[in-house]
Amino acid sequence: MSSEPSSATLEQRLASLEAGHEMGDDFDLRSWVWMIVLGIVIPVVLLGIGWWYA
Amino acid sequence: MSEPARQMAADKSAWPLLLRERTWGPWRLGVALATAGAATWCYLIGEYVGYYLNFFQGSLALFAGSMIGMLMVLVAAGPICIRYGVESVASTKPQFGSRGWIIPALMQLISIVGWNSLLLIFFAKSSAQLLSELGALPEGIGAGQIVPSATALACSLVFVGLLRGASGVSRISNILVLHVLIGLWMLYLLISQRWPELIAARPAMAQPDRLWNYTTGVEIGITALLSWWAYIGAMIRMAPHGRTVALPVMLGMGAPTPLLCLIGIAGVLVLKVSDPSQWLRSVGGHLYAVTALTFVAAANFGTAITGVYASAIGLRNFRMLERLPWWALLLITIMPVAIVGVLIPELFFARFGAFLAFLGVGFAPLCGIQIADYYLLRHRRINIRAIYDRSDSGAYAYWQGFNPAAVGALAGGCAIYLYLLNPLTYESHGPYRFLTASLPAAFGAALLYVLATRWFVMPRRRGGYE
Repeated sequence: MSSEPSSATLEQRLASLEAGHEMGDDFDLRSWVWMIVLGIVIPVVLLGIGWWYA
Repeated sequence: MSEPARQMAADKSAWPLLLRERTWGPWRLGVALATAGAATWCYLIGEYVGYYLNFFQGSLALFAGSMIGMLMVLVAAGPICIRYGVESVASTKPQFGSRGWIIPALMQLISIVGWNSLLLIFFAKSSAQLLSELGALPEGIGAGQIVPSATALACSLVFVGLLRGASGVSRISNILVLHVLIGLWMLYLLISQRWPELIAARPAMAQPDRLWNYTTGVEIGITALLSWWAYIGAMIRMAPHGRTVALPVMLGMGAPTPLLCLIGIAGVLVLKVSDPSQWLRSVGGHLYAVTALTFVAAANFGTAITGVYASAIGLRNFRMLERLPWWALLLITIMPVAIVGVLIPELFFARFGAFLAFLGVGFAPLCGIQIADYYLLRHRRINIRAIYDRSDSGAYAYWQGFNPAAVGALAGGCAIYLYLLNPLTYESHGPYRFLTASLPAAFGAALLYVLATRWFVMPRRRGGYE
């Protein structure tokens, strides 16, 4: 009917992920620094500039 | 099944991708996200900000709000999608339950169908105008008359482009990413030619309360980027690690959107029209009009491709659609868009403001719940097997598959949002002018979720909390 993976493939995938060797890494420290700078620090600075210098 | 065929089949399913199948690097992901983010919605979002703020304040408020919204989405859906290679809807199963995920799935579907309808109608309109501009329309036929057929053609092109799954998204993105640069050129054009008018322009609907106007600019930015929740999982699961994803999302998707929104702010402030395909002719003549129309068509097409792909992958979570051939799933995903685009394009356009409002009401609490669950309650431990376990004994089965804590917190968050800001009339209450509506809605939903989980769910040993 289709070319999609069979349920056996799903089982293999889950087993591989549970074993840990096919799992991606969460955000590392460097990622968090960038996210905080770009998502919190810079927006706060921009808001301050926009408000006080308008 | 051969390895390439298996990989291609995998990125057309909602099942978790393995590390070796997740081959997108930061550059490839950033290009795909930038192409997806930069579309006609930027002008409409910019237009709404331009109603309340001048160019200087509007630009800063929108940029700040957008980056905050992008961070919320990334921190909410990102970790589960990145670690396990799943898309956004699957990432909600630990919170909403093995059947309750249908609530975020419907939110995703409505959001993407809405955005795609808007984009493909825009695509059709600009294509029709482009043909008119080039003198290619048959005599006696106006541009407006071919919009329905152009929409149907656009849907067909999206269908063909996506037959190869995520690789189709990436291939088309590599070509269409150039439109981001054309968009920046249009912004430069408007700013350089109309700078004195732009600086002097006053927003048409500005309230006497300056803080309220400023907060509303931030709120529109947050709300607009929150809608990326629906898209982001399907894209970032193609990359292997958090460090591969963080910067491309924040810079590739978070930054270009508000930058291109500046076109809309500038357009509505100076020329009272946000769509560059309408004002570029008056600024630069025939050649500029053709360039702008080409840009608008390309931009919307790239975003629609990503949207339909994300929506199709999300639909795979439904058992009845799990094994449907990819082409049939694409048809199901595109059909509502085609119906809206062909039958009621003008009505949908007129209701865009209400649609934009819906996004913030729903997605802000959803993000709050996901963040609280992953970081505070589960301490970053997810049971991947339970995400795909539909039985009543699964860790995420809760009560008949639904987690009342998540459903209640989502409803509570929506109520907080609606109390603070009526998204249809923009009438506000309480501390909206200091806090926005999205941030308290996300925080309130997170708090409700944590309290309900600790006091009600955990003592009854539901939800797989250790």
